Amino acid sequence: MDKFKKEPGEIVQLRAETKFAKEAGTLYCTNMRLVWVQSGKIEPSLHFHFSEIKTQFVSTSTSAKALLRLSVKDEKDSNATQDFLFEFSHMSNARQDLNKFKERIGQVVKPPPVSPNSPVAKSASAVAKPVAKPQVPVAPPKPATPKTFRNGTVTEEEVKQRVQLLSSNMELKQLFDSLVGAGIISENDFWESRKMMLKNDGMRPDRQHVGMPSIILSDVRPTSESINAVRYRLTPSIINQIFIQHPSVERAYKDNVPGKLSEQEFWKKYVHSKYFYRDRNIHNPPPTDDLFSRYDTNDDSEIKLLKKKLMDINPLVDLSSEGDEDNLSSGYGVLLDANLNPEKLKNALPLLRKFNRHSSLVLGSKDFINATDTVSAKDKDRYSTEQIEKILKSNKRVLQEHAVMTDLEDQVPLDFPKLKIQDQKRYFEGHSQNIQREEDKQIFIGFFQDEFTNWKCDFKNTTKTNNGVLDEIASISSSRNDKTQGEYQLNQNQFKQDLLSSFRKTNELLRHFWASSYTPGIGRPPTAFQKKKNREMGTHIDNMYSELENWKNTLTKDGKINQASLINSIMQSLHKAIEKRQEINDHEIIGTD
Amino acid sequence: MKFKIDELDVYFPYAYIYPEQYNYMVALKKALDAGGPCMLEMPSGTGKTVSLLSLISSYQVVHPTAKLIYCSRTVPEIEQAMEEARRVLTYRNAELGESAPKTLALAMTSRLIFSYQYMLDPKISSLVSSQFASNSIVVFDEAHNIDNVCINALSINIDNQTIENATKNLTKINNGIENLKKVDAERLKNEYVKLVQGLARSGDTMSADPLLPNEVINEVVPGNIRKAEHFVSVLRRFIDYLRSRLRTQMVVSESPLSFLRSLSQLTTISAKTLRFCSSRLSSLLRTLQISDLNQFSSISVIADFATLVGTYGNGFIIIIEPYDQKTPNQYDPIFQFCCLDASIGMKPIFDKYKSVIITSGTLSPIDIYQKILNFRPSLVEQLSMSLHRSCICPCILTRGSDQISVSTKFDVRADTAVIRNYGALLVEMSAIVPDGIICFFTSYSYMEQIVSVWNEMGLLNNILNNKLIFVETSDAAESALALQNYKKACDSGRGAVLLSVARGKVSEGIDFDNQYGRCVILYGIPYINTESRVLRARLEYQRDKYQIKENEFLTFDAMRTASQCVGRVIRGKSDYGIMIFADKRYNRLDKRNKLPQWILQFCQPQHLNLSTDMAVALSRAFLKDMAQPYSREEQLGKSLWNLQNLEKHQEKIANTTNTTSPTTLLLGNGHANGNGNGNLNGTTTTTTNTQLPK
Repeated sequence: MDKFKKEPGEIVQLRAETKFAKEAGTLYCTNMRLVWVQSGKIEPSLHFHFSEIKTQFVSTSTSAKALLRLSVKDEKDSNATQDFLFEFSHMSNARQDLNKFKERIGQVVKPPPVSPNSPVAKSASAVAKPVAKPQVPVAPPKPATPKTFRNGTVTEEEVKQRVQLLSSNMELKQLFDSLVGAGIISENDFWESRKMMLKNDGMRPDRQHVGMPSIILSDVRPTSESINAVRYRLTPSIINQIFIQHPSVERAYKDNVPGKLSEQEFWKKYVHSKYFYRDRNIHNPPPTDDLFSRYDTNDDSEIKLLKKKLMDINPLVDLSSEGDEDNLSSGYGVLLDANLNPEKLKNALPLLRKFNRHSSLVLGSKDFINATDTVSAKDKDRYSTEQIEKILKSNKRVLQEHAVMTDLEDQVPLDFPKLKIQDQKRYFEGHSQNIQREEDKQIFIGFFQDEFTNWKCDFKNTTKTNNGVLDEIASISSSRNDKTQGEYQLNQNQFKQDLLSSFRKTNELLRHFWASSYTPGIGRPPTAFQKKKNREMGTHIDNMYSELENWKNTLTKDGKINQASLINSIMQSLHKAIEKRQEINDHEIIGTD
Repeated sequence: MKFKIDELDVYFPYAYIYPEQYNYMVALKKALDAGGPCMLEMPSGTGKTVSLLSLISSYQVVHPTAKLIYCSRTVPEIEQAMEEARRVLTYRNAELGESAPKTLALAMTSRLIFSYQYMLDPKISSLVSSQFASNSIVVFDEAHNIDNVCINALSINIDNQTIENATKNLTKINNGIENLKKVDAERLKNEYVKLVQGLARSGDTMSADPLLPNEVINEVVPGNIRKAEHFVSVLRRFIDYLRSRLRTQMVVSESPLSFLRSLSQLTTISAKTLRFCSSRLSSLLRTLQISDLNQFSSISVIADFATLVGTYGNGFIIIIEPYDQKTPNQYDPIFQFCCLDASIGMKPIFDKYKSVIITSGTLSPIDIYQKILNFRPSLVEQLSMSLHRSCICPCILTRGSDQISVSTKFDVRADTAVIRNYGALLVEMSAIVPDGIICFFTSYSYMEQIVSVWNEMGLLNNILNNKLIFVETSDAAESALALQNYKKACDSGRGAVLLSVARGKVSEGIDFDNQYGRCVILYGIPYINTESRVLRARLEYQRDKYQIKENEFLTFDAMRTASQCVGRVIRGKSDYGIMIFADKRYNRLDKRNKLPQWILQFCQPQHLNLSTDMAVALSRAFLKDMAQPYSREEQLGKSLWNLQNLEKHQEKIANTTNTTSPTTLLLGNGHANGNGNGNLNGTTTTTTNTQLPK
């Protein structure tokens, strides 16, 4: 009945007659994926793994056709989606079919909090995503602003980014909590003004990734142990480490998951036989039913030498090309030292190889895995002529570069690290209005380049001369150890924290205020929403102002005049906004009169 | 830049030049003018090859017939030299301008760069080198191992496998002869006629075999092997005899003469007949028009052996071992015909070519080369490094932090305390040295032993906290990949440790310049294993013939290997590196003094007899020093010259030579002169030891 090419272990759970792109066919839902097969064919025309499906839309129950639209992740770009529209075409119960599929996809795509009956959901939540989500309030109860409909457009990706940004930036988190959490500013407004930040941080392709740790994971240890239960937490990085160190486990995994075993079952078995490797050392025959023993034997056969010439390799490190033939084996030469004959020393090779393998994997170069996998494959077949030409060309370039002694060259190329500026406005906009002409720019650039290249730093001497100055300063500051001194130093204390947080909060409020601000009668008339927001912000600013005023008064009472004066500037900027708001208010009162 | 050395215009393809490059060229020019062999040692990484090529290419402008034969050790090195030659020639021809085109063609064809074996190996050199005129300039670059190359080229080993294959080859050849007789008997007859007239006229390429004495070449091929069938039967008898000799149960060691005597008693084959086997075989293979010569490698080995054993009575030995030393229970007999005298290989070259230049970064001690190669160089020059800052930090480490002395001497090498101290050294260095660290062990087996003990101790995980670990394995391709990844790790800033073997492929051919090698640790003195019978025979021979004591030679060999290993880390003067010699025996003067001058010049008293913590402190200070900005202006005039500096220097030299001052000689005698900070400008401390040819 279900005639299409299945993956190992695939079971069809649902099927329905559908049309796709006006072609009749059958849509299957298996335990792994959705498959659509055009009638009369065996190869699936379309198939999506559940993980690829992002959302589904169903036509309303009143509409004439039973339609299912799936947004599926694009294969090339994981951020983009592609839509597929299926029409359920069964004569009588198309609608029921659709509902069944809808339910099923709903289960799989958005796993409900706990659904122990669904095997996929179980394995996905238990193993594939074992990293606990950072406990950040992602979306606190949203205030009912007229803009809530926008929430619909926030993609999962964006939410993730926001969470990440908040968890990595404490200050931002504080601000978020105090403003959005208190309902002063809506979440969308908050992020609206930080689009750049999100873009900079999350989406940038050149963002530096944190690599794997260099250290070899020595053992998988249980996270908690009680009398009759041992709990393990395996993160993807731990799993990766296990694979690196024990290729046999990787082979076992590839062969068995998800066909014969679910991911969770597999790792259960793995920790069960965790002592398997230890047992090996004391010549305990592993239990015959052990999943891993079968795969382990392959490790030994892998210790054959990879005798071949490498193609794609830097000619400066290519040992394999050295000495076109082996002198000894061809009958010429003397063997002076048997210890140097590598053929006879293969005992410790697995240990040595482990390090090379680990290190190359940490670096992310695939050649070690490939090299051992494709030893049998003919080397030449792996490369097309163009590729070979390209390799030869790049090899030649490497040699040419190596042949040049840069120390003796006329011009020493300046090899400074690339400057990364997150917010270019900060550096390149502002005071440079006067320089309009190209020549001026050139002159300035030349001047800076010159200064930069000729700048010499003399650490030894500067520290010597500066030490005196520093000592002087230190002596003065330590001698004046009276009461007022403590006030000047903004140590890491509660005051500083409060001051900075209210400063940031003020800035955020002001930003929103001025963004929604308008001068009545001039320019484009404000929208109703803008007016409302401005009014609201005005109220918040008023509150903020009085809050600060109170604080200032208490400080003055305590005699901390200097600390109090620091608040003045914040209050001044708030005052400007209050004046503006007053102006608008006055105008509007007049206008309504 | 373009400048003059005694009226010779030299075209140097860079705007700046190191003083040692200039001095090197001056010495080379002197050697070329005087003729005869010469030895030049120049600090590795100071642009030896480019100086050499630019002087010789400039020399050729004046002496267009002098061809350059450049030989280096390995294929990658030759590829690099080719690249440099291309640069040098492009520059020279651009400078010459209008007058260039003629010499361009000449220059391009007058250069042949090939691997050592091609020059020293009689089997190949007969095909290649015979075409060179005797006024060619022969250069052996990276020649510190030249004696071993000579010996390997003239030594042959035969096992049962070779014998079996050779027998099969003979059957094939016999079939070939039978077929040819039916098809084209004329060809065989022609060959016979040619052979009657003498070997010299039997083929063009045979005309001037450099290694065989002239009388052999001019002699007429003996009658009993002129006919192809006869020759085949002679070879068959010879192989049968070898097979019977291989069937021994005990170690046999005999001289070529006694081998010949018993051979002629049993088979009546004379030495004279044997002498012609190699060339007779190639003549036959040519006549049979066999294209795939690789198939016949086994019979060629046998024929080459026959020729060598028939030609040389002295300087060779035959050793037949029934059991391999490593696996004494497995019967695997091997017949070794070993050359004991490196000078045999070099003699024809010294005789034939007017100028032979032997050069390397490490030729110390130079006098031992003269002994083992048995020649008197017309000029010897060892250049020290002129430096504005001390960019090499040698550390002679004698003990661990716990004051227990470290060594790879046989009796203590397996000591846990030694292995632990060695490991602790690497852990501590990996924490303070940026980017790449290279470790050399004395042998594969020692490395494997030590690595597994370190693994058990958990030391390797401590290293992994700081850097990644890569290991040179016995597999060349795998090691190459590991090296590529090692460089990647150094580039990315993660840093890496490479565990490698002295005398291994990495220690010989790979440059660890700049970030790829900031520190090299040499665990122990890389002595060669003296249990080998072949080596013992060679040592005895050298003692009897050249009065070189066994220990002297072994130390020399170990120290040149050591300096090769540590010399890998320096390339250019802006480069810097720490060299740790981790063995208490390095502290002794007789070992240390065999290091090249350019390393010794940095070996101050505070670098000697260190414990691990002292070495770490010293390295830390050194690295901080090296991290300071380093500008060209500071070097200029001292360790780097532009054209004005160079001309000023020439003027100065011209003035001093007028007054015939002996200062250079005096300075040259102070061997390990305490080069204080003030005297780091080492241009005047060049040791010159010029001998004029008689």
